[in-house]
Amino acid sequence: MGPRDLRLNLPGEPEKRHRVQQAKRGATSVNGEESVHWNELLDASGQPREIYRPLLRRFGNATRTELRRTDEQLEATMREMGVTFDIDRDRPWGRRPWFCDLLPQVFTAAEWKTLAGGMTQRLHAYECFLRDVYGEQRILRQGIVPLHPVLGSPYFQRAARALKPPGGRYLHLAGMAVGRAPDGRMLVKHHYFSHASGMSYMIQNRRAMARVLPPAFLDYSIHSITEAPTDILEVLRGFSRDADPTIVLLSSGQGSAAYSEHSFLARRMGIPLVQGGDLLVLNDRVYLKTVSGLERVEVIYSRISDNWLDPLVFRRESLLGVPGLVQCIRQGTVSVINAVGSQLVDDRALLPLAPTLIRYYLGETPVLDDLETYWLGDLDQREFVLNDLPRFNIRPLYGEHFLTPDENQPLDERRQKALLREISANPAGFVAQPRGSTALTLCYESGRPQPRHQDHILFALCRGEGDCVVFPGALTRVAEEGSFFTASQLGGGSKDTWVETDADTKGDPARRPARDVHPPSQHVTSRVAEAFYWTGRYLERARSLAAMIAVIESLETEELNSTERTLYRPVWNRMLPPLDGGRAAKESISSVGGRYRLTFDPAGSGSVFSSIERAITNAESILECLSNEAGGTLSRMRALFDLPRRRHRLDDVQRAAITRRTCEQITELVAQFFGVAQTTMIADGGWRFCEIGERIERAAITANALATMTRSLLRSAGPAHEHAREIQLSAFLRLLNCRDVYRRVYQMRIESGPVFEMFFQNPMVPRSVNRCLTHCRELLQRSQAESAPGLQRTVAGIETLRDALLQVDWDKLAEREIEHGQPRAAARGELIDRIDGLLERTLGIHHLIADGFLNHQVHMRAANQPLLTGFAHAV
Amino acid sequence: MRFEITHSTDYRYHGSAIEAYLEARLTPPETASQSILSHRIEIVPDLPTTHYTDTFGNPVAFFSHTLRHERLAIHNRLVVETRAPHLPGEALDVPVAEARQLFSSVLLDYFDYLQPTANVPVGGLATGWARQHLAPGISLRDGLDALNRAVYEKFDYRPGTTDNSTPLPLVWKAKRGVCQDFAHIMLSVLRTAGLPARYVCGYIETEPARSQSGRRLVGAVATHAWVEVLVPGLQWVALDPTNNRWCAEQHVAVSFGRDNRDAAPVRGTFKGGGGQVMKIKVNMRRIKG
Repeated sequence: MGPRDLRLNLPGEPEKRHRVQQAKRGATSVNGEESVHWNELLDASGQPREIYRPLLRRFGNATRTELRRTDEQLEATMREMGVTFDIDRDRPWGRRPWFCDLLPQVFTAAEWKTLAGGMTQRLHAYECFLRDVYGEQRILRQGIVPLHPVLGSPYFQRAARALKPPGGRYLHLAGMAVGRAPDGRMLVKHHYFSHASGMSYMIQNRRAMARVLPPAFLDYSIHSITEAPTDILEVLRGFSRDADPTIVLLSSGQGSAAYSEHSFLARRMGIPLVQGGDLLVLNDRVYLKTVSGLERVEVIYSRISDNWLDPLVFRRESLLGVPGLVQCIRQGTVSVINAVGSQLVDDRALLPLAPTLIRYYLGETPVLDDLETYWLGDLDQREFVLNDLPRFNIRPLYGEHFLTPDENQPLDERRQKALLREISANPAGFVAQPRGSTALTLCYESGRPQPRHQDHILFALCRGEGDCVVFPGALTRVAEEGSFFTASQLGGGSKDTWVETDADTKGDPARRPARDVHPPSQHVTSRVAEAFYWTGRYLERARSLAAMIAVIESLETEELNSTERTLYRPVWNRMLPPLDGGRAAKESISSVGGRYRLTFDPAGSGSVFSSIERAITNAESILECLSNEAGGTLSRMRALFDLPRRRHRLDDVQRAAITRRTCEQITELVAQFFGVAQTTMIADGGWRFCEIGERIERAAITANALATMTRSLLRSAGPAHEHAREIQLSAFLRLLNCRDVYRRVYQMRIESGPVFEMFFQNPMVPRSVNRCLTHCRELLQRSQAESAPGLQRTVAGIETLRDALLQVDWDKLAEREIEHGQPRAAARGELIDRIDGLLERTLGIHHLIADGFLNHQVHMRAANQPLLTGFAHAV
Repeated sequence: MRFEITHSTDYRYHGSAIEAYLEARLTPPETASQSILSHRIEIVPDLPTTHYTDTFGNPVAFFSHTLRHERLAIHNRLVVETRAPHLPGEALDVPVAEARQLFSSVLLDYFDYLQPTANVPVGGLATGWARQHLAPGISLRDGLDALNRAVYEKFDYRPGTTDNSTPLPLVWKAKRGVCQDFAHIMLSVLRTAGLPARYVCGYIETEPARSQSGRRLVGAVATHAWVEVLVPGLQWVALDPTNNRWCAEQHVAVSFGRDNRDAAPVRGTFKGGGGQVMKIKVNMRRIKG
């Protein structure tokens, strides 16, 4: 089979055929203006380049259907592996899967030698530069480079001058973007020296391709890259003298498009993935807040850029960072990779300094050329660029954004004016680079080859002085159809990138035997535990409320006679609304409208909907810890509220029906969530806090309901009101859905003493405070919180409370104050005091859990200082 | 003159705060015009502090409070002896253009003090002022004097009309503000004119009010701010545009920076549900030497 085979798969439509032929010529027409791009696959005569021949032959032999099927498989594999890159943050459960093309990019061994050599040379030179500008500033003093782009850079960190970089180095893990000049020379387009973003996608592409297209690998001898995370971990470990240091990956969280990358790398390295709020600075040391207490952190692999790292030193409004972190670096108690200040060398204004730096610091000739770059902060350069504006892309100093339109779009007068305005407002904030630094390749779409533009990001790891290794692979970024923008943030896709081994390394010594797989991190951070805890609490709150509303709705329409209705309603009305801090108190449950609003009112109102919203908000903040199934159940809960909220005009019959149906579904879905979660999620300490939250909430709701009902019972105390009390108690039991339970436990008519006993003391009734608390204790003891400083204190608190409620002789108290007491309007007496006291202490368990596991108010007290009684504030 | 100064910063949090982190730049430097006789930073509750020197040369105390709390106070107590500064006569005779020329050789070391910051932009209205008051041929002494007076005269001192987040263009427009705004305006003109200048935060003895018995009243005042400008010989000279004078014995300098943000005597961050109120009180009392 020859190179012509590619043509067998060409699409039939003349328009598309035309485009592919253009691709072959290595030229595309941009608005009539011929701009030439290097063709990655074919040479000038239209023949496949040698390195691509086996691949293209293989693709040529496959039918379109086969190719399409393989392509679909590849996409499915990506989704299965959870590889996403989110440009749209509004779809938490449906993140955008990462796009990888079927046809890999291949670099020859010779090409790679230049690329890798060029990258290590530059890393070396820029490392020297960083040490110099944050140190003696020799290069500036000697006037070798101008002051302004360096000292005036928004990425020059004054604070870094007083910090010692980890291991004496600034750059440890680096990325670098390269593209092709029209003549095929590799040009450096941008440095990502401080921020190697995209590495996981390079690895994931390879993993997915190896699964989907294994035979293609047989034709080539290429380097392996899947060990990269292990190599990185080894370097990170090296920054601590401890044999088993705590290393964390600091992420900006869900807000970052590359969150799936952070999550992948952390998982592969077996280190906790944390956010700023998970870390805490105490006595100039960094600690990770886990449910087992505070854990000293020695090394941080940061994916947050300098300006957001510490609000005390950098941008004050930063919520992502860790206040006090820089002080810990100053004191040398923690290593942050890459070093603070290294982002300076990623400033595009410094890109053109490369040849100067390489000659000045290394005395060498640059291996790789830069893409021409002009800094608009310099008057001469600015004038040069503005005189020939259509030839350039205008970009900010950092980031993936372009000010100029895509290369296939004209820079019309209106756009040009806006552009000039933006430049003149802050010329020093922009650089210009000539257009046309992408190469042309083919991507398979529905089995058909389509021309696309591409460039590459290379990654390197520095293990020590003069020991930088470029991972033999890359993230090849492919622009969307008709576009020249390759950045993933701008919608592009990618290609797996192969690096041919050279003759000397045949047999691939780079493919080392698989090393120990690192077990998943055992740390459950307090943030994760807390989000789980509140998810559990709000779900239980929603379920209780929904269940009660559903009960009322069905009894109102189906069962109750008018006498019962009159007698039941006051009990329900008093009990129901105050569930959420009394905020919903104005809603009455006796009208259809009231119940409808109690179900559907918006956030913050204490409605079922608002509790579900809060539960989901908490769950969304720990998306990576939830299984897809559990997440799906939550989505379905939210979806229940989408329709009714949009429908305003409903009559009472419709409202009653939708209230009842929704409440019944919520009751079921919450139960389903807990069931599904238990069968699909890792039963680690984090999940357990969801169950703990659920139990705490249920105990609190039961105790609260009992306190409310007691007040109403006291008003109708004494033998004369026995019948009225029985109806009240019956209403109460029905509301909590416990009438059958009562009958099974007591087999007698409903009396107040047994009701108290059952709801406070019974070890088997699911709603009883005793049972909920016992569960809580068991869950805490079983969780990984064993070593938590708050565990003993919390368990002791729960046990004391259980003892207290078990000791009460409810029968005797009820007999004395209710069955034979005097009716009283003011709720006083031992019974109500006891119940109020127990309610308060039940709510207090929350503070024990929060202080002991979630916000660490326990550990931080000096060990010999007695705890203040109760939950009084410390100062 | 000898002063006893107490400067209190008192934070009260609505609801409670957990994890408060603070930095205090409250240590006055020893200079030709001030000697520190005693100095102590007191934190309530007592918290361990560590120290470092920031990029502008300020000694900084760092401390954190990671327990739940509703109040946090920092008291700066010092006794200081001030002397009238010796103004470098010859340096002040140098014309503005020549001074600018002299600085170009030390640009690297004073780069920051010539650059705009977020709070002190350069150019704009400052360009006209620089041309008017700091013309190339005028001596530094006369130029600085004129500029100091112009800021004093053209801007109204009106407490409460601006706060830390009022952008300088608004101050230029409204022509009113407090000492911090006066200092920023002056810095903006000085830097626009190519003269390195820095922001100073400190204390000033207020005009001694007298009670009927003739005894001095101890006034509760706030911290003060003024500017320092670099003159040939690489000496900083201090001017107080709020009071239209060259700083003298009644000024005690505490911290320095490019603008109020760099020199803030206390800055910090806390986590907590509610807001916070910060009260600042300065007592400055002249005592017998």
